[in-house]
Amino acid sequence: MAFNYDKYLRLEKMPTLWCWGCGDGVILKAFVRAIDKMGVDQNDVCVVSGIGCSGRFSSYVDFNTVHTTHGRTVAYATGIKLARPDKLVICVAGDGDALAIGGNHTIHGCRRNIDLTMIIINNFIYGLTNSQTSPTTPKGMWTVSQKAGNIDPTFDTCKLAIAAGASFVARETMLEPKKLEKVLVKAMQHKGFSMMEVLSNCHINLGRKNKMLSAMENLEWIDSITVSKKKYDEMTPEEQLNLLPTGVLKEDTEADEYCEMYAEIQKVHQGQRGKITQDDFAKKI
Amino acid sequence: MAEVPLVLINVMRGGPSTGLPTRVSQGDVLQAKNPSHGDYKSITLCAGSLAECYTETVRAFNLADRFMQPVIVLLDETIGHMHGKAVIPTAEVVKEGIVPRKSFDGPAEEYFPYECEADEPAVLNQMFTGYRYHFTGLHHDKNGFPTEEIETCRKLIQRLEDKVAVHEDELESYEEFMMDDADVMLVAYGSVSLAAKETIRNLRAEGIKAGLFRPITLWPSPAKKMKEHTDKIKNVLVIELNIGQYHSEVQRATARLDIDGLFKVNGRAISPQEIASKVKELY
Repeated sequence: MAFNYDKYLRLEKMPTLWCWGCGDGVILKAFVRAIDKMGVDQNDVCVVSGIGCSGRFSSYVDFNTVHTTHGRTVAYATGIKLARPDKLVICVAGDGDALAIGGNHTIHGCRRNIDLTMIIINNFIYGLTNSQTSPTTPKGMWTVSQKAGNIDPTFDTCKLAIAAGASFVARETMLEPKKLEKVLVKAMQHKGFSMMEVLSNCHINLGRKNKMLSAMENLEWIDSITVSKKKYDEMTPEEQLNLLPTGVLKEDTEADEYCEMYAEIQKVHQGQRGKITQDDFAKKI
Repeated sequence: MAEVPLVLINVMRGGPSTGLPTRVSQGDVLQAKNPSHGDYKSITLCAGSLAECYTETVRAFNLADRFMQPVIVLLDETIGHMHGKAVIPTAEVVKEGIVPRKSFDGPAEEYFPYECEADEPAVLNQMFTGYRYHFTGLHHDKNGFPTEEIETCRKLIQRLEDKVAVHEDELESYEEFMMDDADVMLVAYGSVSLAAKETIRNLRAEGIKAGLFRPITLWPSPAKKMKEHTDKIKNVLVIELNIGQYHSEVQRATARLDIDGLFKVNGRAISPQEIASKVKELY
């Protein structure tokens, strides 16, 4: 029997504001199936979104939902998670949201390794505001803010998250929703900061400027720049140039999780234990 | 917009920009009146002593829960760095003053967090308690979902204004120091009020009957009470460590353009001697 999404959707909010052929809907469905697979109660889930097309994500799903200010999903979610460490808290943000205005929140969320799952929907452009250069817009592409072509180097979301200290880092594309669903379950089950980058299309605002007028053309381009981690690892650095590996890129189950450490701080203040010292940590610097 | 309680402490120092860090100022008084783009009515409290730094912060938390919005506590660098003895209430007294935040305990399908009286704040149940609703910074309907419906948007902004404006009496707070027989009314708040009090004692020893009106809730201002005094007292001097930010509010509240001002903006505290010589020069 086909999966019934109704239980998890706010049907009265349909249809979505997203354009025809947008990848956000595919990602939303994969997310809902992943939650269902985990068997978590809807009341125990909180979805925090920012500003942009991805910002609307939270209003379509029937959980505790928070639509926050631009780039600040991690800040709000950190507060929610510290207040209720037993609940499942997920951030949904776009590439502009999470890597430009919210870049600092993102790296410090990774650094703290707080038990959040951050889904960055990367469509390589500020789509909602009609095609301005984002930190992931490939060099040489045209946008309305760089009409002579983009000269800004791009962020590699996953490398950034790994370097900043996220303990689970994965990249998938909306081309393979089943695989995405599986990795999303892993990301949400992981204890610690899980960075889940999902490459998606914006043929409307990235495509129209860059000869990818249909969703299919945009998706073919995404397919052409991605390769599985296994294949990627076998390549020479020359072959790896201009390719992004997909799959689980980092999984560290040993790293200290922030809420657990915070609970120790609470114990100190309640007089249940002595102050935290360097001896409490294997990795100190 | 989401009507989330918040307490902000601002210890004012010299601006604009990086300005005069570690030096005193009261330059953020008008910023505290309109801290955000868009319309809503700010609540701003201003401590004038060490003990009040504590008691006004407690009051700020209670008001934030009552009105479901940010409450600003304005301090200044002088108060912020001051040492001294202070008598503060016991934890039991503080706990007695806590008014629990409103919540809804009926069935989830009948819960509309933003459907409330035209002059009351939203009733936001705790997250993860089975009432799944939506927070947003966008204009929203009774369920909290984004909307651009004209009448809903108008009503929402009007309610954000009225939930404070209609209940100003719950917020009003001020101190009157030797005001009963005063011929000269000084208006000062924060650390400046301490210098003003000393000035008043000195002036009275010289036969000049001065008094102090000290607003504690700066916004909304105790306008009616100020007017009551200025209707009777001719000589009114507003003393501030800015270029006259509350002076304009005193003019507005009292409908008098002949309110005098003593303003200091060089990062240094104002001395009782400076205030006394200004009073003698003017009156």
